[in-house]
Amino acid sequence: MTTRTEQHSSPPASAGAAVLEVEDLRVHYFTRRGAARAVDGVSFSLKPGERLALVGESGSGKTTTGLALIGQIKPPGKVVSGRVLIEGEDILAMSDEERRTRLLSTVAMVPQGAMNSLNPVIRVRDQVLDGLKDHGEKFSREEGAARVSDLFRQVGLPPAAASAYPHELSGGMKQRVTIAIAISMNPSVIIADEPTSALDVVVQRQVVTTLKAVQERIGAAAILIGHDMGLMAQFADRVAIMYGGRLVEVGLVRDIFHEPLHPYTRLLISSLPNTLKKRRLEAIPGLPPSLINPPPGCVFHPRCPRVFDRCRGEEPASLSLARDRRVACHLHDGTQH
Amino acid sequence: MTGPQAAPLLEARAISKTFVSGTLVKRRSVALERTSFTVAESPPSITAIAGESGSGKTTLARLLLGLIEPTEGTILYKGRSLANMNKVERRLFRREVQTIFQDPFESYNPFYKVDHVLTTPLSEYGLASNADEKREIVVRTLEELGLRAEETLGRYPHQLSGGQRQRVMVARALMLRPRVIVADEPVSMIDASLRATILETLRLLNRRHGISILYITHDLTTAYQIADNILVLYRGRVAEAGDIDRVINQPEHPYTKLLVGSIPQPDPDLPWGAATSAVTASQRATDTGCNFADRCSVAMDVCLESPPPLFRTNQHRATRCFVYRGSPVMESDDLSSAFVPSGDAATRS
Amino acid sequence: MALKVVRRALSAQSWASAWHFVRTNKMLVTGLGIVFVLAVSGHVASIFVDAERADVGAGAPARPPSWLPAAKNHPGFALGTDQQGRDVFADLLLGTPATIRIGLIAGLLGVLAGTLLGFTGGYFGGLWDTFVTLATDVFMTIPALMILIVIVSMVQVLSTEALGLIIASLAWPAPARMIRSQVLTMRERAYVQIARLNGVRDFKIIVMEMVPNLLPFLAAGLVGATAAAVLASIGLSALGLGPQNEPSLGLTIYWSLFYGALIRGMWWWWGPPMLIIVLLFIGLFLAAAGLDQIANPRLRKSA
Repeated sequence: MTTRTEQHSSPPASAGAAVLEVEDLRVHYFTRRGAARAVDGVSFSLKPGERLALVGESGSGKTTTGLALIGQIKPPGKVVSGRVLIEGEDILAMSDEERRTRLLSTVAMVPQGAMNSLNPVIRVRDQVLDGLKDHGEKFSREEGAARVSDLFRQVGLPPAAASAYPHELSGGMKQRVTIAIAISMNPSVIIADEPTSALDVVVQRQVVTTLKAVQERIGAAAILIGHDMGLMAQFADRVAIMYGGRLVEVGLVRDIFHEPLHPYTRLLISSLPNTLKKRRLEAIPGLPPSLINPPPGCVFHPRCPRVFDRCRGEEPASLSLARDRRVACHLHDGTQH
Repeated sequence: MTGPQAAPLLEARAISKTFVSGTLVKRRSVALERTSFTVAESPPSITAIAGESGSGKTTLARLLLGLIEPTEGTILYKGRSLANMNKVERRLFRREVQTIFQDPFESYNPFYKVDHVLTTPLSEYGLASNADEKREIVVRTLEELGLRAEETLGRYPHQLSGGQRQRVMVARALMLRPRVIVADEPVSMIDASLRATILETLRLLNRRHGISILYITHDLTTAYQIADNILVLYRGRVAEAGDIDRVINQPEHPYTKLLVGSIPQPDPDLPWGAATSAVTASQRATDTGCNFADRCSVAMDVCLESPPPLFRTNQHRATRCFVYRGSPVMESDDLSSAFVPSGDAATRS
Repeated sequence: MALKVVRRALSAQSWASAWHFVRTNKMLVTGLGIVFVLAVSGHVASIFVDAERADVGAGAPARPPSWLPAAKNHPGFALGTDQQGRDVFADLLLGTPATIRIGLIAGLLGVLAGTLLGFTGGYFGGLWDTFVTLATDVFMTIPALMILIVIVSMVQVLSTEALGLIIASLAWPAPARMIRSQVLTMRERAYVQIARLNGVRDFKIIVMEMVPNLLPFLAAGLVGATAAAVLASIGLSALGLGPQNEPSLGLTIYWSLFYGALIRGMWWWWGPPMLIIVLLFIGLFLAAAGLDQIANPRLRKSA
């Protein structure tokens, strides 16, 4: 297995070609009460070096999407249809073994809750090196130590931390170890699933800033999955909003925050508190939809303040309004309303 | 302009808490250092107690609720010390000082339907004499908070959403007609769009029912939205206190600056500010000086030698930092003397 | 007042749903069913089978089962006879309930004692808790069987009940430890604090809030303790240290070992008891597994 360190030393040749393409992904969880359509027709693409935020609340399907992107959907979940093309290869169509070799080397994940993803009885430097060894890399003790040192430096960890056990590190440091592991093989795509959920705001900033820095340095594309819109605004180039298993809007970060189009996005943005002005916070009335029996037509229609007849019967298609802008809403299908 | 000089409702007088662990070899850790503040009888206030993990804010909450005892100092309710209360007074305290916990799921006993946690206090405090009365009070309270009884009652906790569970908990607290509610991170485990509902509900309790709220959080943004005043805690010590508008928009203490500067604004055109202090300690903290000295970019010699007192930098602000030693030291231990009265704050916003 | 609290607890609505849950768990029902059948079979059968058939000399010795076409088989003896002429079938039928009874007595007493100790230690803490933990740890490290052998060999006349008591004296540490750790976590749970803020007093908190959530653990502890006790009693009896005047599974094994049934090919003598023991433990295991399912994912049952 060849090392991939050489591949990103120069800027990507075809900056236009997508490094990640998701086509009509559908993931269902088969429970006793029926099939929960956790991801129901999601399509998007990611350019090399780009930062995408995948935003949604609980039950929106964002974590399931993240898992599907690395081919880690386990029963009772099942990928019912769709393709996930990473560097042109469909990860979902691969065998388990083929997929395993792609993990970490091509696409790497920074999981949620670093406290739980690190092995408590192995020193962190060994956990970093284990990933490399699993992919067939060979190195001497000194080379390994140098690799770890270099990675730790990139994520802002002191070299002394290498010989520590996870419990000896703080939450933020542990999370940075997982980032170090994720970039150890210079993947093309990094997927971070709520990497800062259990961290304090000061450490959170540090972790996200680190993630941004290393991602830029190795030229990888990144997907940040979460629900903290503030973090997304600080991190992402583009934002994709998920609701009820579907993508309701995708756009450049400025467009989404300053001119949201989909009613859900609008409500979401206006429900965000900030520290500049006190105002009455708007909530979104109603409850998230059932994934087993989603509402007919537009999945958001029961809670939508601008709902009309067509919304109740016809599911809106995701329409491209401009370059880098898509909305799935009947209000924005080009006709007058 | 200060409010009427009424006897305080809830008072923390020079309280501190040190935890001791271990059976043979004892280890002490100071969770909260000597702190005093009061919650006035009127007008009802909303005060934020902010800090990160390890700041002592949860310890402070538990002390105020009487769930743990202070190592030093006393907690007084309506002028009576908790330790000296008789059964009747204690029961009244228990009823009038309520809480909302962070985890909406853990607050329920999974064995029972959610009705259990609502009807139990009505029986225990004698607020209803039969099942019909109980149901009537429960339904009325739920509806006041915008919850539909048929969607919430008769269900198990896992059948409700996180937001619903938390609102039912608020209903539980409200039903007892408390005077103070200590809300410990009530929205941190709730989705962003549902937070607004719960925060507005807390505001409603304050305005319509005259309940004072102690809002404990690490999220300055939500604190800013509903509180009038704030206490910022760092490692068991109050770093800064006062009018929340001032503290957040013009922070004085280096830690507060770091905290405020780290808030990710939901606007891509407002990036994080330049880092003002180190995130982690660069040198070892000393026990004798300011507890933030090891991370502080403006630390001076005096900061390492002795702990700074609280300086009254403004009528509505106190900062524990030697940078402000030009201001007078706070005469009263009571931090709330630096607060802006709630009525004034409300008319201002 | 205490009685009213207990009565209230028993009528709480959730018991109905708990019962439903229990009823629908296949493993639990199957497991308990097996154990129940085995336990009751003896009592039922004693109506049909004469107890004297299990005595020495009931039939001609060492005869294979009647349904075999062999020449020397013993008509009328479904599982043949042992070396001393006992009807093997009758012997097993009467012996199995005895074994299970020992297991239940010991298991019940052990769990009761263990729960009391573990609960009080965990809930009230302090010096008492230190003592309980120490005692539990010490007793858990003692190899129980050895102690049992020593004790039993010193007792002159041993009844089934006495054996049950002796085994119970070493069966309490495991439940004690389990209940204690559960109580320790439960005590800090938010819903217990909420109950306190709801004005509920200590005793009521224990009965209404904590015990219902402990039930799966108590039940699991009971099954575990019963299984261990059954094993201990069979072991002791098989070594010849158990009560010898009543039939029991272990005793049957003892005699079959004594007379070398294995070498002599008297499979109808050593085979069936083993089969029953295996069946019994499968039943106990299924019951435990079913309880495990119940204990955990009441929470896993997400909307």
